[in-house]
Amino acid sequence: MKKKPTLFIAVCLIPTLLLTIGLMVIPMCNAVYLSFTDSTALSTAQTRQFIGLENYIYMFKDKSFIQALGNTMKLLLVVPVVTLFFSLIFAFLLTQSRIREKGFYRSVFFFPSVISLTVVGIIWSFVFNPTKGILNHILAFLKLENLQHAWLGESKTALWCVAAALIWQAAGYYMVMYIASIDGISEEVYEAAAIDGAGAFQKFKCITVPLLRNTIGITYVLALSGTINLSFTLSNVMTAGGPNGASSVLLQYMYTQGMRNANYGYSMSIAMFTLLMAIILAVISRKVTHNNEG
Amino acid sequence: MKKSLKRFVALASTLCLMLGAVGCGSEASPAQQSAEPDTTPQAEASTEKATIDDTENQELNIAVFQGGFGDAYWNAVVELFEKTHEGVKVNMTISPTIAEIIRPQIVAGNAPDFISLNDSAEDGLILSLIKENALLDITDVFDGDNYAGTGKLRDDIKDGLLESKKCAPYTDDKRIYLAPFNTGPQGLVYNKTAFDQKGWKIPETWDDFFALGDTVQADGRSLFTYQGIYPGYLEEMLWPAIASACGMDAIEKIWAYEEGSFNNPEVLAVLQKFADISKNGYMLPGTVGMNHTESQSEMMLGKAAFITNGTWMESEMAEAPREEGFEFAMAPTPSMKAGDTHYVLDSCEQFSIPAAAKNPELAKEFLRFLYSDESVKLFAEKAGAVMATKTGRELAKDYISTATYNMYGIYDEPNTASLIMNFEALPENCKINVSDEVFNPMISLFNGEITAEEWAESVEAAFAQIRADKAK
Repeated sequence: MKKKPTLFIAVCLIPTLLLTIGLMVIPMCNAVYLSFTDSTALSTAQTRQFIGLENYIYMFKDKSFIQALGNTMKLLLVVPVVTLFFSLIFAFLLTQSRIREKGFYRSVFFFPSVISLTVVGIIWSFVFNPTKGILNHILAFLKLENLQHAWLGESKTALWCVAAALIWQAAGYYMVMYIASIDGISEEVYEAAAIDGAGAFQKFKCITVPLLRNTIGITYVLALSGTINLSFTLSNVMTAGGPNGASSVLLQYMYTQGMRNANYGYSMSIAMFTLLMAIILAVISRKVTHNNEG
Repeated sequence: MKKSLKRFVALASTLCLMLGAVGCGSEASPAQQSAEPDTTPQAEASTEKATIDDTENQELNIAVFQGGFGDAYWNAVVELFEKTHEGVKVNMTISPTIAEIIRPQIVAGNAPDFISLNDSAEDGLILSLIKENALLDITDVFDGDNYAGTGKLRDDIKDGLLESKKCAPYTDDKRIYLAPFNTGPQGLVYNKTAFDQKGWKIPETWDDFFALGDTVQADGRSLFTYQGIYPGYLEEMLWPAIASACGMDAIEKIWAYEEGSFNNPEVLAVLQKFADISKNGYMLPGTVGMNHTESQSEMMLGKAAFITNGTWMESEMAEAPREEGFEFAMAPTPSMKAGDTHYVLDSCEQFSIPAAAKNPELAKEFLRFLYSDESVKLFAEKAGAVMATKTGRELAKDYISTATYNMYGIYDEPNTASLIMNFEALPENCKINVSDEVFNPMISLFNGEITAEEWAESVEAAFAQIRADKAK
């Protein structure tokens, strides 16, 4: 057996390791520490005080935090599921159907993942614009004026407008992952099913979904963390968290407290809470999909 | 030995992978940003106090917010300052996102010598510097001579500004920490041509205001619009309305976060007027979903009779399409009763010098220079606006547009007074953003999702938290 170049690997790892420690481990530990202090933008190691769990206690009395948490939860419940649903359908259609413009659609669906998230936010702001937006114009054209809204300005609709933009930009990304996985399923399985008289829906339900279960599990975790991260940018660009906090999300509130109100300590405790939440959700969803496999 | 190396490789690669995964699930960047605030700006405070006569080879680092006034004035005034102060080199950073640029520098103990940025800016930088007592006391600049040497600088500044919370933010210490930049009225902007042609009169009271609403509706306009998703603009109406109806004492109590200052019956009556704008259909449909440029465009196209704004609107919307013959004019916020004082909120922005400035004496000299006649004229010429000096408006007359000059005339109307607002400095570590707490609920109010009482209660709750933080 050939000897493994262990020393060489170790040396190659050093730069990455140093970067990881310098840019992730130390700041992360620092963030954990700061979350237990009353640190502000200008406070120093001498002036900041250790205040124990005070930030965490304040958090649950802070109505803006609770509101942001609620909004994030709503998004986490809806966005990943809907995104993956569309991704699966698109992937299935583009691999199994006989549409001639497959390549074109594949590019079109993937396109939103290529453009900057800020641009996505601006595009959707135009779509939802109350006077010039295409959505209200379509509704007017269909004589559905009573369904028109100031979409981004009303508490009931603002968060779901952000959700729509999130789904639109992410669906194509996961679609590509599913296409790759579906390509890995032997053509013979589908042919055999077709011979047995299975229609497209049955093929989808009985072959594609079960065989992709593992991929779906992983993409679900990715979609969860994606939703937590990306909702910040979109909600910032589209609504600035408004109206009256109706579309604010956790990371945005963290940013507001840290950068606008200069409360680094409090901001870090919100970050820690979000991190913990993300890890717990990821573990749970992995557990669930693994159990299903067994 | 071999074994431990292998173990190290395995451990290290797992660590990298793990953190990569965690990083993907959380937002790691703020944590990174927070990793470095360990330098003390105060500790590094200037040791090289230079006298003003000796400006040889001195550098001045200034940071300027580039807003509606553009950069032409700043480029010109810096050039003039360098010319008149031999040996001085001014390094200017000017940007619409100046706070994002200088915040990390300040945190790292490398503060600029002079900042031109407003405390009501969205970024909150100046507010946090006030909160953390990180600004330099500049009372001596105003107690000293003006640049021309003809008298005290204090006497040149527009009345009322230096004593206001805008410039002296701490209650227990009346000293000046922020210098006034510009001055300008803010109120209800309307199209003078349309009003003249149709014979509409400027409403004096809220009743007149709503009556005019019915008239303009017949003409196919809504009565009112504002900057939609940025409800902060409504301060231009809310504070004058409260000051007019309840008096200056009442409003001072609000700005000091006193209990019961916002939910008492007098203030509630004013808040109700705002609810009525929308409830009775006087608001331009869709306003709550628009941004500032959208709502301003709609107003200029004749969709609404009034919009809250300041004198800068003329230059801000220079390229925007408009109704035939559109001419900018400004009316004050209506009062409850005829004969009540109309208040006009002043749009004063601020200069400041960080306590950690490396060259504070030169920064003070620069500040003094900015109020000189040469600079005031330059400001009018290049930015079309008026510096906060007593002679500012007259010196600017030849340079600013007639419409802008006339908008400044709002102060000369009978029964009209200037209102300079600012909340008292927040206690350090306070997690409340007062402006958000007061104005964000107004969108919900306009949407009919909350009542004026609920709005008042939520503001009172925020005030209570601020008082609790203060008592700590």
